Amino acid sequence: MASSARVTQPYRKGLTDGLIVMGHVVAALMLREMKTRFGRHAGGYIWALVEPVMFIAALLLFKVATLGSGLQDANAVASLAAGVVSFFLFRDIVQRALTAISGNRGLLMHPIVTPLDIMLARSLLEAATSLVVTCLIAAGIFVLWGEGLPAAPLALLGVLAVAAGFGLSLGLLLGAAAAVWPVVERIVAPLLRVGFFISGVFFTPASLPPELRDLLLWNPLLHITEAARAAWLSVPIETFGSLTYAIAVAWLLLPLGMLSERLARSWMAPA
Amino acid sequence: MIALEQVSKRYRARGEWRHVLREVSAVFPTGRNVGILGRNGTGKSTLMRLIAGAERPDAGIIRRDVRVSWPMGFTGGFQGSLTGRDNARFVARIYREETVFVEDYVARFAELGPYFDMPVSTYSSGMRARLALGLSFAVDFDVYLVDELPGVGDARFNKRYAEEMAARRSRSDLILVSHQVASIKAQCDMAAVLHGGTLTLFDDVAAAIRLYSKL
Repeated sequence: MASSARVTQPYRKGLTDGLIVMGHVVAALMLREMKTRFGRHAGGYIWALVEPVMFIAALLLFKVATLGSGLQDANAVASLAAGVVSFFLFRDIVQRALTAISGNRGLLMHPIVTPLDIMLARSLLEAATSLVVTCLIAAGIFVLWGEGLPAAPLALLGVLAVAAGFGLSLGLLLGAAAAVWPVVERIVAPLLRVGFFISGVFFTPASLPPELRDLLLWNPLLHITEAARAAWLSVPIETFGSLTYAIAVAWLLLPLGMLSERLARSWMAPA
Repeated sequence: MIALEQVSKRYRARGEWRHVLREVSAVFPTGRNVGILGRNGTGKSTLMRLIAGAERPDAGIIRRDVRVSWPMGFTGGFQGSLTGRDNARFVARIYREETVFVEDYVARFAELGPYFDMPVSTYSSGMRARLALGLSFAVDFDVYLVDELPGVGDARFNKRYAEEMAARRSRSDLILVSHQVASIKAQCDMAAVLHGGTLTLFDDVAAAIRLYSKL
């Protein structure tokens, strides 16, 4: 009975009409998010760049100190950068989608705005930010090392798109779950931190013992960071990952995420 | 036209389930201003949110083929860290209204002065309410949902609000929720009584008032 209960909208009639309205709403939400997050202080923008740079620098110093690798190797830096930007993009999208509803309940008093719109707008903004940050980091590496620009930029763009898509699919699912069970919001943050350690940000699958490697390769993120690395580096590397696997998981999760967002809408009443 | 078809809605208050609507069917025809009378706690605001499309019924369908406003006094949709102007622009964009027109209209109507360009979080509750009212008038809705408003402005503002409401009534419809008979008598040409999970719709206001006064 509950599934037939509904309020019809004059705004989204056919599919084309609905998509046009959605486009307008998502664009308006992106502008709103941009002003809210980065708006009156430049701090928001700067942090988006500083955080990954700090991680790359810290991981680089760690490698130099423990493994005795040299600082002069641009490929070592690029390898770290590839892992950091692709993993952070995924992580940030999951986090933003997760809090999209709890932070915007009042918005849902405008039924023209759907929870999906809010999550999509946030994800697109995250992806755009990540793209700019990636370009700046690549430029920074080139300035400091004289080489290390992404060897296959289009392939890298594709990998980032997969990372974003995977993040959105999972974010939809978790965001819907968080609307029903608020505790989900607090569980996911530590899980994402664990994810950082098993997703190949600072190690490559090639450097792992085979048993551990086979276990960790269930994690689609490991495949994403591997593909990002392969696209960025100009030297061939021994890869174990397959981007196809990550894409398949993201595609399987997407309908689940969209379905759960629908089902959870009853719990998403405006405050 | 807004039509309720076998709509049920209940909510939990202090551990008890309360039925606001129990399989209610009703039609709010286009061209009529409808008043909804109900004692405190009967769920008038919940009914408003249902009609606004902000909440889903537990069962039944609410059909709306017109642009319905949000409950006019609602101020929870603002982003506190953004200015009144930015919030106005956002609302204009989602409803695809001219942003410049909406900004100008709201600035004139809400009379926030320099506060229009300050974060909404610095506003008093009265200023927020004026911003929200200005915005709902600035968007061209077919039906305006009016929840009885507490005093939000000075006498001058209240006069402007009453004038704007009267002007709007002549080209759009109104659904007005109140427990005051006088305001419904003055503004509506049709009325309903919400009581104990049923909504009884009357074609003339006097009949609704007779039932309401017997409750």
